[in-house]
Amino acid sequence: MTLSFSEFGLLQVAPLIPLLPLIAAAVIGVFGTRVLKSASHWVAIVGVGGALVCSAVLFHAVRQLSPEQYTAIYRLYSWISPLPGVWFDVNFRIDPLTGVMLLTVCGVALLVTIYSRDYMREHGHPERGYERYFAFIALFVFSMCTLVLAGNFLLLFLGWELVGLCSYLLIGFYYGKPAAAAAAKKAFIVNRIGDFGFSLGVLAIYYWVSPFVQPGQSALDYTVVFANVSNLTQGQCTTIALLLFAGAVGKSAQIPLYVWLPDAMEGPSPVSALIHAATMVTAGVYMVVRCGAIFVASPLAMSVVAAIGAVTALFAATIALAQYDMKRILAYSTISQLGYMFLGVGALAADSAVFHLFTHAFFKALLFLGAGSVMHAMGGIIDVRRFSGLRRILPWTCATFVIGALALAGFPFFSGFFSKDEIIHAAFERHALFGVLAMVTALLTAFYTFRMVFLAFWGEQRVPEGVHAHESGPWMLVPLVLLAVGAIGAGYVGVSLHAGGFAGFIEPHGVFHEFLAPVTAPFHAAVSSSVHSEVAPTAEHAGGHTLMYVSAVISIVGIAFAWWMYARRRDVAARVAENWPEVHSLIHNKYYIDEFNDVTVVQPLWRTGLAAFGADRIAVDGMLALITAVPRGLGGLFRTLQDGMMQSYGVTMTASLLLIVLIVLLVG
Amino acid sequence: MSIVNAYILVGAILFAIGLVGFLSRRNLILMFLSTEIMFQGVILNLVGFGIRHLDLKGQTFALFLIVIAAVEAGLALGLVVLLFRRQGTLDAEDWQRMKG
Amino acid sequence: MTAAALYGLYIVLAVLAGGVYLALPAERPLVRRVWQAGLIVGAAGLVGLAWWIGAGFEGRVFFVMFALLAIAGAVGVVTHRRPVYSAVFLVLVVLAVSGLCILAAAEFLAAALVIVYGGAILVTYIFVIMLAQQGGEASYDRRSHEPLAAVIMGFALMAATTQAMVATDPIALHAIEARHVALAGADAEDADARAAESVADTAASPSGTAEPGNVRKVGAVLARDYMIAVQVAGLLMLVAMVGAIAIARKKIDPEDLTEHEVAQLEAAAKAEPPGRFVEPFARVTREHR
Repeated sequence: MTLSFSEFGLLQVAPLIPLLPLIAAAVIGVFGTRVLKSASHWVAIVGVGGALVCSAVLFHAVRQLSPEQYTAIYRLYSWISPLPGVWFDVNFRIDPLTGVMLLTVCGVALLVTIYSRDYMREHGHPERGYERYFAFIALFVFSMCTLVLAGNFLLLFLGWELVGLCSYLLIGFYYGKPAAAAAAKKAFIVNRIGDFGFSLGVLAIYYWVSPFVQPGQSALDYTVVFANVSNLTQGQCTTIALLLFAGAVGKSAQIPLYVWLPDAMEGPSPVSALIHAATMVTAGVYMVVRCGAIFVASPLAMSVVAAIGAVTALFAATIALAQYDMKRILAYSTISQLGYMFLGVGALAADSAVFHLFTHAFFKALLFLGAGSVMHAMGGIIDVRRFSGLRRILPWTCATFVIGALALAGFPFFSGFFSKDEIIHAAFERHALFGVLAMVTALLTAFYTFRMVFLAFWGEQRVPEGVHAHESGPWMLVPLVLLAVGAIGAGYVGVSLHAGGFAGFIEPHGVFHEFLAPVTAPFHAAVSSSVHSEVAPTAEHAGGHTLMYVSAVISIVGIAFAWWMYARRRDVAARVAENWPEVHSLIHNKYYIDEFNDVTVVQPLWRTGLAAFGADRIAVDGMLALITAVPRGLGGLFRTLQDGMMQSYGVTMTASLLLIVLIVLLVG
Repeated sequence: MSIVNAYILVGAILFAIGLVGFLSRRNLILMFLSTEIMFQGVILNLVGFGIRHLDLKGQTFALFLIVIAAVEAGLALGLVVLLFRRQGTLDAEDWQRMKG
Repeated sequence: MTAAALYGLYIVLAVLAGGVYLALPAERPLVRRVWQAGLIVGAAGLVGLAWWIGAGFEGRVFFVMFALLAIAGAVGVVTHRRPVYSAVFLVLVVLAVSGLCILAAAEFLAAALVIVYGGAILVTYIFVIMLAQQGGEASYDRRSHEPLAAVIMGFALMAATTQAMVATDPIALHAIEARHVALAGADAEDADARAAESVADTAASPSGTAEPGNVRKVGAVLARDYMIAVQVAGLLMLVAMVGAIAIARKKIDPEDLTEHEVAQLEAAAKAEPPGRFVEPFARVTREHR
């Protein structure tokens, strides 16, 4: 499966994809504050745009690969060799999954970068830290591309940590604001917990796979590991899978490590759109799909993945019902949708999960950028209780936002409908309980999404005091429009036109799934060998169209209910909150999970740290003081001999002479 | 007790008394006076050794010792004069700058 | 020397040490100090030394007398509160030591001691004392610096060296003596007798006999065996003389003077015509060109 250099052809653009943003980041980092200043965004746009162009070229080249030889391993150079005979390369794995992910990442990144040019300005003047922002964005694109392109676990881990770092840097962009600094720390630390499990997983892989490694192979290469999965016991596979999934739980904000994502909204809105909607948080899903061979070998791990995904989806959706900060609502929505993706993977429908990832990138980024546009117009305020009726003031923002909301809610014919529906199908096939959970979550999703839309854009027109609200400029609107087009059209790559399907012409599973088929083969194999499935994976859902209609109805019902509660009669919401104050406050306060974490985890660690600090001060410093006191004491003692009087020195000399004479007398 | 021992003993006593004076008097000039006593003690010692060996080497050595003593006295007094000029007093306890 | 004698010696030395300690200047009542000092020192010296010149030789009386004088004079130098008296006591010490030298048939040395020490060195000392300290007693002469430590150290050292010099180990002593006797070509047992004889000879014979006198003999030795040493000694004295002049030359760096001192200098230069008596060794002196 490894192509020779001459056969690489267009695939040789692969190193450029992470390299161009890296160079852009370095250039902005070095020259940004002095030379480029307000032109820094051009360097970032060129870097990320170049990466996008190369990703498109790569995608085209991957499509040329035959289904038997669908993977190309591009080895850049030999990286680390800790022991003789053991080495790790910097190599890239190029296959359909990589192609799709790269297009998503670079595409959304480019649109976000263009959007940021206007967002990070106030009345046309760049904000403080303008250059730093674009340097970090470019660095992030480099990190994410490295993660996606990685051909072995070590490089994957490198990219994994780097995206965590960039997330920290960008969340804490407004580092002067205490809430932002705290949120950045929280994100990094919670991620760390997950990454600890992830690194243990990588170590476990190395430990258990290296006995089977042939000379000339590296133990952490994807090809080597996946080929040797059959040599591992099921217990080993389960352990590795669960450890790797721990990292995914941290990175993709599932229970219990989701607490950082809502706080991460302290960063600028484009950052939330790029990192916490479309790319970084999807790294966990990507990793699980990539390591499908390992996960599939362990049914227990798959069940865990599905269960956590489903529970998280429902849990986060309930929290979103009582939030008033638009970005928070969208954050919990992201957590919920990520839960959907993990549910899809756990239900052995990895291609559906990746499809949902693909469509979710579009509409979630759109929603976040739209929220950013609202925030920009409202002078930094994003609490829906402070404004309403914006659809006349911000027409374009409203239109694109509604399109994104429709996609998120799963309204028929929008992209989200198709992808979410496939996951609901797979969930039902896995276990009826999962299916029910998925459907309830879909209902809630539609409801809270449009609650947010109607609260913000409908109703009487009011803006906060002293705010001059106006529509955003073209730099911000064009990406919104492009993403809106994607939010509608991206779904259609995943369905095929077939007579007799849903609404008469649509059939699930399209070119997207065919394209990914070689990569998700382990999942399909597991499906066909499991007792739950009676139909072949890519066959039509014989009775499945019913479910599609049902999910369409659910989405419409949710939207209608939200319309009634928030657009027509606003007092209902207030009365509900009055009648069930405990429930409302419980949900509004996110089930007090943060406080619980604080008491059980943070405070004990803090106390331990203080104790260690005290021990260090007392024990170590005290011992040092003791040790230094001895020479000082001795010195002080001897100092009394030096009284400056020459005659005292004479006495001392005489005493020494006496000693010598005595020694000579008695001994000599 | 032989005569040699007697001379040596007296010389030792003189030397010791001179040492005591040097170590305990505060007047700079008196300190050097005490060193002169120590010289006397040494001369007696040398004379005693001369008796012991029955040659003139002891006395000759003592003669040269007188030369040395004279030279030393001259230079010592020069230094004492210098020190006196600096400090205005002959007190040795005024010169404690190297204390501690 | 027997062990008993050695211990006796130590006791006497201890008593002498105590006496010297008490005699050193300190802030103590006068009367008691004098009594104790005088009594103890005198008694100790007398008793001790008189006992130990046991195997008598001619001139024993003179030896004891001169030795006592030397020791008493030394104690006086060291303990007297007035510097001039100390210098005079030192003259007494020099005279006593020269007497002891005559007893040892070293007449030239005795004469040289009196001339050089008494006539030159001590005179210089007295000059300096009188010029620097025109009063009799100064504050720093009234109190000693750590008398106890000084006395203990001095007399302990003396005891140790005495012990070494008159060691009671007969084998070692005889070994040393035998070696020297072999070198000198004389018999060991005769050494003391011959020494006593030569002393007696000196005491008895007048000057100018057939045997050359001490002066001639010393001169011959110096001219023949130690000529180079004599020349070096002369050179040493020259260098010392030049050095003393260089050290004690009156040279004042103008920067060292404070403003007050500069004003004083100028006032003095204006007020006093040259030739007038100027107090030497004063803190501020005129610059001699």
